[in-house]
Amino acid sequence: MEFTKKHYDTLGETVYSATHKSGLRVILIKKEGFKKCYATFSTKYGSINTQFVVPGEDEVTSVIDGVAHFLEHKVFEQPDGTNAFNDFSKYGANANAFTSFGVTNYLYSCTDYFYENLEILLNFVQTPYFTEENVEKEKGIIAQEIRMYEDDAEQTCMYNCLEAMYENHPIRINIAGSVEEIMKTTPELLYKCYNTFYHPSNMALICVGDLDENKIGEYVEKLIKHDTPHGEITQVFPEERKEAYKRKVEAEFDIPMPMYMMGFKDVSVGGTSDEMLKREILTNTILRVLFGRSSQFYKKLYEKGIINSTFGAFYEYEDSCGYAAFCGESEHIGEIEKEIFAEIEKAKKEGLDKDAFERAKKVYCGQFLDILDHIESFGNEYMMSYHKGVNLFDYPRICEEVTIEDAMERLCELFNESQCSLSVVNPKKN
Amino acid sequence: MIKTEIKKGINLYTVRDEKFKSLRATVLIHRPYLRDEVTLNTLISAVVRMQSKNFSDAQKISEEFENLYGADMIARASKYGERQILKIGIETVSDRALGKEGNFDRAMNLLYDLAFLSGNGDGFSKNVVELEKKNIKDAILAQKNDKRAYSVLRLQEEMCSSEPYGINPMGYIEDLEKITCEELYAHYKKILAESRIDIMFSGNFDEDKALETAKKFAEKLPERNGVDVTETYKEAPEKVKVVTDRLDVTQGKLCMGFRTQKGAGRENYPAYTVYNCIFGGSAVSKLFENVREKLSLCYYVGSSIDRLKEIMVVRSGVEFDKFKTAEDEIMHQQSLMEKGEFSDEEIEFAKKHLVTAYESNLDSIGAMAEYYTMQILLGTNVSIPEMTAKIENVTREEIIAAAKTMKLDTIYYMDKEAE
Repeated sequence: MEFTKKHYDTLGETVYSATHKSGLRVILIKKEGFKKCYATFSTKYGSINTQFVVPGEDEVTSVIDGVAHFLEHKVFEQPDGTNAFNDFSKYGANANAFTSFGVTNYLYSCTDYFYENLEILLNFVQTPYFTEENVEKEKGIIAQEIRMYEDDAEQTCMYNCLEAMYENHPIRINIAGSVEEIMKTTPELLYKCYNTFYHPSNMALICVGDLDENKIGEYVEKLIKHDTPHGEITQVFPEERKEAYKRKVEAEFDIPMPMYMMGFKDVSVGGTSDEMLKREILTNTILRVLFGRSSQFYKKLYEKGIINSTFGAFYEYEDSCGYAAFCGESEHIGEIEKEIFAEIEKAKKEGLDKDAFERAKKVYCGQFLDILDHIESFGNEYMMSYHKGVNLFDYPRICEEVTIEDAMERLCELFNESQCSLSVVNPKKN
Repeated sequence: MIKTEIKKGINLYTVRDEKFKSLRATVLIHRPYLRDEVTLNTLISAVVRMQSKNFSDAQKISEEFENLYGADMIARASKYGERQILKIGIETVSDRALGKEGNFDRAMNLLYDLAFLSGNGDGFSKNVVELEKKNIKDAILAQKNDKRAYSVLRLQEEMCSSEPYGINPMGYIEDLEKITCEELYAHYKKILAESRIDIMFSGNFDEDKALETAKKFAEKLPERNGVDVTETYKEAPEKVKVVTDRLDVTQGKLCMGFRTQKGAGRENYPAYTVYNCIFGGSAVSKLFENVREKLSLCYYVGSSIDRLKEIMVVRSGVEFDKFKTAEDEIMHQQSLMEKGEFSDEEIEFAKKHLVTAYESNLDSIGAMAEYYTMQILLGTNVSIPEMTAKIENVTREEIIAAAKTMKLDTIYYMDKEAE
């Protein structure tokens, strides 16, 4: 395997990348001087991938909710009945996995025996073993996990907001599925999804640490079971109109203060790496300039006691969807909603503050430098970006390039009432 | 970690590592954990974010953090054993990573203002104090939202109801309501004048500049004795205390508190931490393998030992009708530990797991700062390599001895509401 080396001077970082004959993308972000090493072996398969065309087939396959997450639990189980976690323990590695909307990620971090752990990682993820018995047992554990989320007001608030914004897109569904749906899981279904999505050409191995790319390459050559890439998996997403599906949704929980999430559904999705990065940076900049801690909005509403330090805003996206959202806890949600719209309208008429815009750029520059120190966080961010088609190392360059005019365009594109849904969770009335 | 006494009762601690792009500078004000000041300290940790002599409101403070390349503010009153440590700090990108000078000095000026010149010149503004009182009241009420954390809090409250450890880490609403802005400011001045203060730097910074900064910070402060805190020690009662809360939940919570022996968190900690890891401190622990995997009883189950208070808590999320089964299995696993029924392999796994965890601290400014903060509180200076060496040397007999000191004190159930 031939690795290409790229050095980012201003950041002081070096990246080695290669593609294995199976289609697996292999990347090393070299971090000299760090003891910890991190590896992630991930697939572009998440909770939103419920409809797809298997390479070589014509029909669309539709599956129940929660399969990607169920698979993640089961992949750890080995044919001999042991759990892959135990194998990592031999070498002191801290292993874990998670399923998000767009990816399933198997990871470990360690301060020694990196290559021994790498062998374990590549082996266990490529060894599916699903039986009637072990699938049944997992249903109990996952049902408990879902129950834990059901007790979580914040999780409920978020998913209600997603359900309100999106009529059809699977981002509206809880990553773990529902207790009723997961009970329908079978070994056959797991194998079908595994064989489709867990092909190396749909996956990436990303390593971060003071490591040797050639040695990583040797292990990949030795252990990856496939020789040729898969055909492309066609992802199928249902039609979703530009407007938000429902304007408002409410629920009740045993909490002391109401909580909310106010989402704005993105109409612009996908594209090139630069386009997606630009969209992300511009959205975050707008949120910071208009609603961040140094903004007039924040000062005014905080001093009136309408918002508190729980108030926040963020932007999330996959390559097929995205949304910006405001969230927090308050007794004055109606007022917050009104003020957010007022601030947006004002900015559309009068423009964005230039000093605040420049300060926001400084913040993102600093934050990016800072995250480079966090091996696992950076590894995860890089991996998530990779599967969306984004090269995270271009972030500082795009940050430099974006203009206040770009931000105005973005403001008008995303922040419209027709694209907005408000989810509220109220305290239960006694 | 290097310690330098700046003046009596005020020390500088530095943990430097060039591989980082950032640095963290924190002022640690040591207070005992007492009912009559816990709420005051929590309120101070909120108010210091809001106004200082040279940055008159929160908006100006936020702008300055943005100017410091998105630096982060640390302002909280944290519970460590039976002490409350008021931390005020800044984490920012180093001048070296930025490729230019000036950011460090500017950040230190801001930190000095926030920690030592809080207020409007001659007090705290009434509207700021009243607003933060409301926010803290809401935060205290919101403790109930995170059921997992709340169940542990309730166990601590009940198990240690007559000890400082049982005090709510954020304070009490009835105390909060009575605080006046004059009283709060007087308390702020008092703690700056009397408390033991440590100034800690971690990450990528210049040692000379750190010393210069610490001297400047201490210049106008008087010498002080500080107050030495030792955690209260109590034996487990004859009869296990059982507490049940009934809340609107779909998943039950089970927490079990155990008393250990003096020294468990100090000179004997290496043995106790290996014991804890085998018992319930990892995804291959006895609790995880048996209570979760084999019996499918729960999604999470684990144990942890508070080094300063020297108690162990087991916590788990379980179906309501499975409380007794889970409890029995947990006690069964603990009895296996006492009997030495754990393999050499389990010991090896635990040691490797812990060594990795400790060594990983070296790669994170925050984790390093936390590790060394604990060292400061313990009054020791055990480096991370020294710690891992001690862990490697723990013997089977020491693990069994640790297990035998575990005495169940209190069980807490978070159950569903009565039908």
